This record gives sequence, structure tokens and C-alpha cells, in this order.
Amino acid sequence: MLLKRHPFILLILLGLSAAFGCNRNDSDTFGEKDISDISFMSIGSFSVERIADNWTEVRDGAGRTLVLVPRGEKAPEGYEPQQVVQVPVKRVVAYGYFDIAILKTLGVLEDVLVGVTADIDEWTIPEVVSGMKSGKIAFLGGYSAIDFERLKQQSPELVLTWDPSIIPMMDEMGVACAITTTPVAMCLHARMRFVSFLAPFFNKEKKAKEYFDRVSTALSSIREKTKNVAHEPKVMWGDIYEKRVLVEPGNAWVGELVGLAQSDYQFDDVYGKSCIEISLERFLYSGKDADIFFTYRTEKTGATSKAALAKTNPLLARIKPLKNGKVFSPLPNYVQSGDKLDEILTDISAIIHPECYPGHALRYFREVPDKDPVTPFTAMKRISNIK
Amino acid sequence: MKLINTIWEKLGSIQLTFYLITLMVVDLTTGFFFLKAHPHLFQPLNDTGFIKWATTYAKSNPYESAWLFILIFLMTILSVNTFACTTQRMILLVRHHGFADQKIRFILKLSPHIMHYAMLIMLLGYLVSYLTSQAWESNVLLPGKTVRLPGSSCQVRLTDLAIDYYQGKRLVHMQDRGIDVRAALCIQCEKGKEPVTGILGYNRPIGFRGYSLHLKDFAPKSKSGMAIRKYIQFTIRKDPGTGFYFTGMILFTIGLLLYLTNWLTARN
Repeated sequence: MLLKRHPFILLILLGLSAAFGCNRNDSDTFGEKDISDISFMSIGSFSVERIADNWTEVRDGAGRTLVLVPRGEKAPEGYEPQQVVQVPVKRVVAYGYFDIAILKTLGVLEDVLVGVTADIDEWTIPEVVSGMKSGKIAFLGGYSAIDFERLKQQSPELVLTWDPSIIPMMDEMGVACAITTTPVAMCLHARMRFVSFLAPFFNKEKKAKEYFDRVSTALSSIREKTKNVAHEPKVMWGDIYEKRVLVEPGNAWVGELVGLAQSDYQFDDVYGKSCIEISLERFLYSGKDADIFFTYRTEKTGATSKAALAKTNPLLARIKPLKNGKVFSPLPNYVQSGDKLDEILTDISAIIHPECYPGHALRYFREVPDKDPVTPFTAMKRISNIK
Repeated sequence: MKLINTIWEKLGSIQLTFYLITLMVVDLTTGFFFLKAHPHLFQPLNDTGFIKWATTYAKSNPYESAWLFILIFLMTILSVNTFACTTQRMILLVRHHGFADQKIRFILKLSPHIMHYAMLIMLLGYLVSYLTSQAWESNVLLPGKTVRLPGSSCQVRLTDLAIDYYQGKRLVHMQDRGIDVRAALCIQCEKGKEPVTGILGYNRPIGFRGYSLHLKDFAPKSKSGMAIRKYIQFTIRKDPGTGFYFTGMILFTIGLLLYLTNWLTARN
């Protein structure tokens, strides 16, 4: 009767049910459609649109538009010359480890990569090491001191970078440039689908689909394995540095994965870019009852033991994982293994719920021991300190 | 004729306004959750234009974007309702008040209707913006470098970049962090002619021949940390809707002042 007299009440109820009942099943959330059939695809801040049979328009992480045109064919009107990229691209300079790992996924790394911004001793990807040894891949200098003359000599057709400040120089050189990072951290879906943004540059859409399917399968397996866990551990990911505190926000793929693996991410309410700065108080408050702490630091940068971390920053010693929880640090191959995202996700899930993964050997993280092992050198040092 | 009159009256009814506003509240509440859950889906609306957005992002995510189309539909009816309601009242006012005897009082009584018409003009501005505006995202300028204004021969040069870093003691985490930026730009269209100069900053866009330049980002943001080149990132927009907003805003302000005068006069 009430609904008959006031039909808008029914509409209110319908609206609210749409808003609150919008949890669709997971396969839909991760858009398991055949990407070759899709004329438009948004991947976080990136997008790929087939604007004609042979032209594809892509939007990079900074919102800039590029049009991909088959080699030798005419570009559509309305685009500046620096927006036109001839595909498949044959020579690429890349800044980011993740971009390079995705080139590997697409099976083009050895053929197209001609320049990087990290020296040979920093690489764990065999193809890059061998390419640098043979001279095909050049070290162009650190990100803040790029040797543009050297870059020009390498004749790249495309530069994949996170640094927008090089765009004017690239425009002058007539080299197309795509920004592969975003102002807001990539969510899990965007991280998995990023391969579909790079694939049309090399006509490797099929490879991109294979990668996405592989990571989706890993994710489904994580969900299946962790769905009945009794305990939901509290997880935090970040670190305290000399002047600032940086964490992975809740909207980042890491935060989303932790939630999917039936655990509680302590920075779920933090929103923004990857490695976002928060206050020290907030970090310590979240650390009070956390069970697992993922540090950004590697063994090389100080995460040799909990004691060493506490010594570097005494405030860090206040968080629970350092006192009686678990601390994990990334192994050197972690940042360069974007092509094995499925294995990384599984590693993280196994860390959070070891009971679901009996016998799992970590490949991308190591558990940080309580104390540094005693070596003859440290023993001597201790003795000399006592004296 | 009778049918047209009935429709016209129904369109201007206050009951319709009530239902529409209630539905809009529900729709916007729904939209809030979708916006929060899918910010990447709606962010491109700012620069791609509505039609392009609707045929790409919205088309591939119909469930998440449906609330926006419902909102546009409701807004359209509300605009028609506001126009009909205000025009009906205006007709009544004109019929029952002669211009000759109480000119000022008559004008004062128009104030709510002026505000309603102003609102409609502003909404029209939004519509024009969404349908016709163009945006060129993420233009980067280093000191001394130039960028061409799209669709013109004008060159924009960054002549100076001044970044203020926080030097106070109260906010420790803000120490040496960029808090304000002033980018001196010089726009030159023809050689030999006097260039146009302006200072670009946050909430301080530069307008030039129908274009507007908006600061998006700058670097370096901190005196310490990663060594990054000095640069600004800005958006260039060409938005014919701005004329409508400003006209609407001026008209709204006039209406508000008249309303206030009317209220004070009635009180005294």
C-alpha cells in the first residue's frame, strides 16, 4: 500500500540495492573476455582502443594519446607526428623493470630492447645481461643523468618511461614516448592487464592473453586455497626511511591481493600512488597489531635481520612484526620478475597463509631472521667492542 | 491545446520536482559507491569528452556507468521542470503586476526566477563542455623549452619556474617539500609581436584566445630525495562552456542580491 502511494520509495530501495549489492563474481571483476574481440579496453589509467581495422589508439599512464599504425601505412588525421608509432616497434628504450619484464612476457625483449637505465651488475634477467655484454643493449646512464647522445645513437622508436621530463627531448628527437606509470597505484587488475597495453605495440595480443590467463589461474588458485582459513593475519607493506615513511596504499595491487588472500591489509584506507608517504604515527599505529611486515628493503639495502632493521631505525622496533611477528624482504630478482607475476602472487599468499601451502619454497622473498648470523668478522668486532 | 496545457502544468509541478530530487539523491548515492570503486573509469571524462567516453569506457562498463546516464536523464527532466515552473510563475507575475506602478518591487520579486534561469544556463554550460570541449593532457615543459598550442601556431615557453619549499618547523614531515609553484609562461603567436606572459600555478590557470592552461604537476617536489629535472606538467583545454558558466554565475549573483534586498525590504 505504502509502495503504491509512494512509488519513489520502491525506486530508493532499488537504487540502494544496486549500490550495495554490486559485488559481482570475481571472474567478471577481472574481465575474462577474449581481448582480441574487444574494440576498447581500459586498464586502470591506460586504455587501448581499436579505432579502425589497422589503427589502434592507446592512452598512456599520463593520459597522453598515441596512435599505432602498421609500418608503411598512413596515419589517421588529427594526430601530431610524435603521437604516431609504427608497429610492430623494432627498437625500444625502457626505464622500468616491470616494463622490461613485460617485454619478456611478450617474447620480444631480445629483439627490441636497445637501452636501459640500470648498469649490468644490477640485472637478474639473463636476456638483458647477455644483450648488454654483446653491446646490443646500452646502459644510458641513471634516470637523472641520461646520456641523450647515447640514446640517440641507439635509434629507439619508442621509449617506455616513468619520467615525464624527458618528453620534450624525445619530441625533439622524433621518438615516441609512453609513460608506463600512473599517478595512482595500479590495482591488481591493471597490473595483470598492463601486458595488454604494451602488446599492440608489438602485435603480440595473443601472448598477452596467455599471460593474463596464467595470472588469472594463479589468482583463482589463491582464492580457492585460502577461502576457508581460520585466521586472517594483519599485513603491512612499507618502510620507515630517514626522513619519510612510505607504504603501499590499499588501492595498490599488493593491498588488493592481501585482501583477496583472506587477510587484513593495515593500509586498506590509504589511497594514492605506489610508495605513498604517510605519517610516522599512522605507520606505528598500524604496526601495533600487525602479524606480517613486508619491507621495501632488500638484504643489500639493510634488511639483513630484524635487529639490523631496528638498529637502522629504532622507531621501527616498536612494530609487532619486529618483536614477535614475521618480516619479509624482497629478493633481488623480485622487481625484475614481472613476467612471473603468478609466482609472485603465490609467494605472497604462501607467506600470509603458510598452512595452505605446505612445503612451498619462496622464490621472491626471504624471511628476515631475528639476528644477523655470527661470522668470524662480526665475532671479532663484538670482542673488540667488549674490550 | 488542452492536452498541451495539462502537460505544461504537470511539467512545472512542485511534486515532480520532489520526486526528481529524491531519485537524484538515490542515484547519486549509488554513483558515489561506483565512483569510489572505479575511479579510473570516470577520470577520463575530464579530458576525452562525454560522447567519446560514453562510446568507450561506459559502453564497455555499462553496469558501473549506468547511474551517470540515469543522472543525466533526471537532470534533463529537472531542467525542463525548473524551466516550466519558473516560466509559469514569471507569466503569473507579469500578468498580475503592472510595470508602471511598482517597477522595483516587481524586479525584486523576479529574483528567485533569475536564480533558476541562471542555474539552467550553468547546466547548459556543463552540457556544452561535456559535448564540445577539447583537452590535451600532460604537456611537459622544462625551463626554456616550448610546446605548441594544439590547432594554432602559438608557442608556449616556460621562462622561469619558482618552487616554494616548506621551511617551517611545525610540520616535520613537510620539511623541504614543495608547497607552491609559480611557472612563468610566455605565449608567442607571431614573430616580432609582443608575447603574452602569465604565471601558472595551482588554482591559477592562464586563459588565452579560448584556450586555458591548467597546472597538473611539477618537479622536483622535494629538495632531498630522488634527483629529478625541473619541469611542469599541464593540461591545455578549449572549452566553449566556460562562457555559459560565467554568465550563469553572474546572473545567479544578481538574483541572489535582489533576493537579499527583497528579504531585507520585507523585514523592514
